Amino acid sequence: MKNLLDVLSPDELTVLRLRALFEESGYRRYHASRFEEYRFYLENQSFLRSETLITFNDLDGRLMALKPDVTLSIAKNAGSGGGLKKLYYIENVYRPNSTGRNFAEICQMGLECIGNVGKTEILEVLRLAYESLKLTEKQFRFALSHVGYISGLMRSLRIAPQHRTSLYDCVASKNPHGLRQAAEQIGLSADQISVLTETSMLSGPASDVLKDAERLCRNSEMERAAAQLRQAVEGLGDPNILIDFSIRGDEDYYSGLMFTGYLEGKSRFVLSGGQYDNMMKKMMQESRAIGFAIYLDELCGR
Amino acid sequence: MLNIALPKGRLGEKVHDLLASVGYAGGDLSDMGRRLVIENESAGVRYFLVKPSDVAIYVEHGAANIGIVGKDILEEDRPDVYELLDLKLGRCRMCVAGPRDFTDDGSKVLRVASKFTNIASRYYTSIGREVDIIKLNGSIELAPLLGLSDVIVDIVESGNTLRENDLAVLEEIMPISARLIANKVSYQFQSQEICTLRDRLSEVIA
Repeated sequence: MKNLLDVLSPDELTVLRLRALFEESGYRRYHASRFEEYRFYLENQSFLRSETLITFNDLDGRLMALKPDVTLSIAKNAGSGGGLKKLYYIENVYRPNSTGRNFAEICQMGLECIGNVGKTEILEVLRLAYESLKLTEKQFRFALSHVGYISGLMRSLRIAPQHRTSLYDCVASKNPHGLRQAAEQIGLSADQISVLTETSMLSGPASDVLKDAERLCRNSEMERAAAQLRQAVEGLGDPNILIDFSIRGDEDYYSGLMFTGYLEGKSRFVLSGGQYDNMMKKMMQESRAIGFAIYLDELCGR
Repeated sequence: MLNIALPKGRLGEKVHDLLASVGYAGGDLSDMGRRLVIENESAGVRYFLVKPSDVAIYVEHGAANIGIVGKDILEEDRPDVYELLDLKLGRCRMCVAGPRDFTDDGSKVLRVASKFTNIASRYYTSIGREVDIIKLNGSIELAPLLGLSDVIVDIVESGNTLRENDLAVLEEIMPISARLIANKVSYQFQSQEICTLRDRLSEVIA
C-alpha cells in the first residue's frame, strides 16, 4: 500500500502541516455550526467583508444566514467563562466571489486566542501567523500595523470622527494626493496636512520604518502603538517584517496590532488578523482576543 | 521586471512618453497594433496595452504589477488596488449634463443615462434624489435628445460635444485624471522598483 501521505495533494499537506503547527502550540479544533441568525450578522455588518449573505427561514420562521465568517461566532460563543481559550478552525464560509456576481463556498482556516490574553499570547499568535506563511515554502511578506497609531494621529490633529472615513480610505489605498485633497476639504492647515501625509504613508521594512514611526509620535496613544510594534518585531526577530499603516481595521472591532501576510505570485493577501478586544466588548464579553484567518482559496488556488 | 498595463489610445501614448522621459521607454507603441506585449529588458519593464476599463482588472488580479488608469474607472469599479500617484494627465470632469434650460424641480423620478452607473447612483444617493438609472455603453449625449433620459452623467473634456448638441453641464461631480495604481501583493514584493518609478514620475509631472 502506498504511503498515506503520498495520496495527499500539496494543498492538503499544507493544511495538515498548519494543523500540526497549531496543535503543537496547544490550540484545539473548534467546530462551528454552518449558520447563525441573520440578525447577528446584521448587527456586525462592518466587520464582514461583504454585506451580502445567503439567507433562509428556519422551521420556526427565524431568518438565518449561512456563515460568511467564523471569528464572529467564536467571539460570541467562546468568550465567556474566563481563563484562556486557544482554538483553531477549518470551515467553509459563504460569500460573494471576487466578481461579486455569484456566491462562493470558501474554505477558511483560522486561529483565535480568547480570554486572559497577555503579551506572551499576543507574541505566540504573531509567531504562529508568521510560521504559517513560512511553512508554505514560498517567498512571503509579513506586514504589521496598529489601530492606535493612525487613530492617535487623527486625534492629535483633532479630526472629527465623521471626517475620518474618507481619510482612512486614502491611507488604505496609499493615496497621498487623495489624502491631501480630503484633508484640505475638512479645513486642515498646510502643516497639519504634511504631518498627516508623512506619518500615515509610512511603510517598509521595520528596520527602516520603525524609528521614523517612533519619531513622528504626537501623543501617548501613538507612542503605545509604536512600542507594541517594536515589541512585536523584536519578538519575532526578523527585521524584514514590514510596517504598513495602510492595513485597515475598524476601530469598533480591532483594538491593537493588525497584520497581513502575502505570498509571492498571488494576487491578494493570504492571511490577515489582529487584536479584537473591541469586538469582544461589543459582544458583551469581558475578555481580550487576538487571531487570524488564512484564506485557503488564495493560499492553495491559482 | 515590472509588468505595466497601459490604456489603449491617446492617454496610453502620453503616459508612455512620460515614462520614456524618465528612463522606462518600451519602444514604438505603434507596433502594438499587432504585438500585444512590448518589453525593454534593460529598463526592467514590460508593457501591455489593454482596454482602458480593463487596466484595473489586470492590476487587481496581479497579471500586471502596476497600471495607469483614469480616476473615473477607479471610482466606478472601486478595484482593490493601491492608488499611488496622480499623473495629472488626461484631465477632465465627471459631470451631470442635460438640455441647457433643464431644471430639476424634484416633481418626478429623475431619469439618468450613464456609462458610469455606480458613480451616478452614489452621487444621487448622496444628495437624496430618487433616480432611475439607464445604463448605456456609448453616445450618451443622445439620450436626453431622444427623450430616453432627463440628464446624463458623463465625462466632459472640452464641452464641445455637449455644446454642439444643445446640452450643458448642470453639476460637476468630481475632477478626473490618470492615476498610477499597483497590485497590493506586487507592491510588497517589488516595492523598491515600484516606488522608484513612482518617484521619478512625480518629479516630472506638473
